[in-house]
Amino acid sequence: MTQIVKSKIDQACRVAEEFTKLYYETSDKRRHLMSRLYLDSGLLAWNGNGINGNERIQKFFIDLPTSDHTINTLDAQPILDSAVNGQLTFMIQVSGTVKYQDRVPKSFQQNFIITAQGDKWKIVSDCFRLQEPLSNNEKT
Amino acid sequence: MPKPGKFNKPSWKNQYSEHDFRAGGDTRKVSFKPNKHTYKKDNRDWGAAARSHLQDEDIDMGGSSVGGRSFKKNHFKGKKGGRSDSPAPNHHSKRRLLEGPMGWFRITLPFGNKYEKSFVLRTLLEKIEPLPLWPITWKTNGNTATFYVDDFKVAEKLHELDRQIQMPDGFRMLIKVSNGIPNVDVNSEMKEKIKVTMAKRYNSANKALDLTKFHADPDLQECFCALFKPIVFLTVLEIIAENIPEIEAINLFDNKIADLSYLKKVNEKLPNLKILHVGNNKFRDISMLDPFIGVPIVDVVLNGNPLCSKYKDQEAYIGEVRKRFPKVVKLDGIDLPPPISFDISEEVHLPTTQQTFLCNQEGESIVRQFLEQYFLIFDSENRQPLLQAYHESALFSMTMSYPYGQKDRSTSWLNWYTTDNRNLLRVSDPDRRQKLLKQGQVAVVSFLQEMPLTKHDIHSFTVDLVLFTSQMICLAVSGMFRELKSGHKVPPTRAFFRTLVIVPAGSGFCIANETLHVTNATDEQARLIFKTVVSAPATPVTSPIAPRLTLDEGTKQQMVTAMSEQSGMNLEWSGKCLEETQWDFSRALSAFADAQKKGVIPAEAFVK
Repeated sequence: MTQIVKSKIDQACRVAEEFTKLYYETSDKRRHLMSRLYLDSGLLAWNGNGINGNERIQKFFIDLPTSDHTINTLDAQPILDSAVNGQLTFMIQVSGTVKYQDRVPKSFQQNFIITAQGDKWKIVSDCFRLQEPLSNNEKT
Repeated sequence: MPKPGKFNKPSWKNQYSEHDFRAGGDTRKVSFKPNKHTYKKDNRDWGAAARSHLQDEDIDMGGSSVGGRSFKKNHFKGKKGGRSDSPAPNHHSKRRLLEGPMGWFRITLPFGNKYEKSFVLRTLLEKIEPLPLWPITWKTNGNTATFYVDDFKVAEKLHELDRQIQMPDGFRMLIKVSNGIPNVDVNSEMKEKIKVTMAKRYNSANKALDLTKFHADPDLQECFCALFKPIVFLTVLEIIAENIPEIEAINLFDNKIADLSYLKKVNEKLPNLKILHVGNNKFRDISMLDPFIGVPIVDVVLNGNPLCSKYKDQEAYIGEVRKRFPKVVKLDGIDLPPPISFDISEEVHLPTTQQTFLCNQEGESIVRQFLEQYFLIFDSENRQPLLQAYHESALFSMTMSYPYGQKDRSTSWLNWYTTDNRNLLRVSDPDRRQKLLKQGQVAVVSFLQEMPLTKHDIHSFTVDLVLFTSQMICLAVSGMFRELKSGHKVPPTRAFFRTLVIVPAGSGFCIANETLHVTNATDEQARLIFKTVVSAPATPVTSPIAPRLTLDEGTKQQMVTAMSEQSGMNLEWSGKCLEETQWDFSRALSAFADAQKKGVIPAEAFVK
């Protein structure tokens, strides 16, 4: 049991490294391919805006200003079997800075749940947050 | 009127009697020598004013000995004549006041402080009407009062009024006018004043700030808030960036500004500025506004600046303006033909940030309760009760980094978090990666217990519920907390981003996976911590019965204690209140607030 967990942890780390490299390269330079990274029913929550389905996510990315991501930290864990019925699923945590067009870079944090679908890793959910003050007109 | 207390100095009597002489006029020369003596002794600050005053006397005396010494002298002769002839003013023969390069004048009233300030100002105002009088930085030293005016006409008029106004005690008021700019030093008190004055001049409906003749604002007369002083302008810009970054229009008319080329990053501070009116200033060249390049200005007014006369034709003028502000469609109030541009807009906007995203509305109450209870315990001294909140094989790991641009500044160091920073980009050894991943609820909670004490600002939270199924909930929370008792001089304001995978357990839920990212709050964020004012909902809505966290007695006890602290009620009544609201802390608080407003809580509830 513990040995299984151990190898899953190692795998999660390796996949996370590969995944993030691909993800940010694609979103910075080959946005038209973004939809391939998501499940058909994948979800993107971008700064509190929810986008459902890989087609709509694709469109959302196309409409974003050009971006340039730099990753500062990366972390990953395998999700407990009891939550995912043994389906191989990882949680990936990223922090870094992103520069939109020529604006000042901003810090961001992002979390992915990715799962194995056949021989491909696909994003189940992608949660992105810029580190910024909440504007006053929004009330809890 | 003179207050006795003010003139207790030994020299007072002397001065006063000299004043007498002065008024007498005839004996002026006799009084000259001792006069000089007294001034030097008592009023060092008087400096230039006193000297120039004495020079007048000098020349009066010298006038009889040497002829044609200087242009100035001749003028004084004329003046003397005017004085002795009759009280009728003969302005043209007076020494001419020159309009200096900065257009500011120091007015010295050598005996101005013998009278009430308001009386002096009223008297002067009556004499110069219809001209306005805005005395800047009224200061007194001994008997002398000084202030500054920014209007040549006013300065000229005051200059003419020298020895023309008879005061109630029979003396004629001395008024010395010279070129001069007050010193300015912006301290926090002054910044606060500027801020309040700006707030008064800001129209939030159309996001416009009117800073016309800012230094003359009645609320700023004690300090010298001239916008042509870089320190003042920079302060104003800072206040804008901190408080009204959404600003779209600024009016800077009549501020004697000659140069703004020292400004930096204006496009970051005023990203939405569309209207810039800088008419009637002293800009000699449009390049003085270059720091505004990159600001989306569409309407600019430059009228009344020396630069306007530089251009031979209107085309060249428009060209220079458009070179800097390509989107300008209105110049000096005149509509310009729109510039021809391309059909791909250069600027793409980011979608607006939303504080909460819920993939499933049903999840809201669970999420809210879960967070309230979790952070209530997390912010207490004892985090052990969180054991209940974690799955027996729970996984937890943490990463940390500094926000953009903060690393090299002296800041609240995140040293505590570096030891357990599971940053896979840095930690490549598989064993170390294993070790930094806390496995099992005991390992997780003992790590949480070691973490510095915290106070989270729940109103700073963003919540993203990205998965909500019967098997699994995935929830991301970001926000701010204060780190307490961690050895920092000032409790640091941190920002965090936590992602939780939550699974059902018994009648409640527990955390299966968690990643925590800790960083510092940015300055813009930190300013807002614990600033949200929440009004309790009028009637607490009875939420639909949702699956609840299983609360053990320890947690309940902590909630009761917290409730008692916040409400002032004793433990028994705090417990009752929580019981009635199904241990929903925020509902309990608002129910309390409600009941208290209605006055239905018996006094015994507060007996401890």
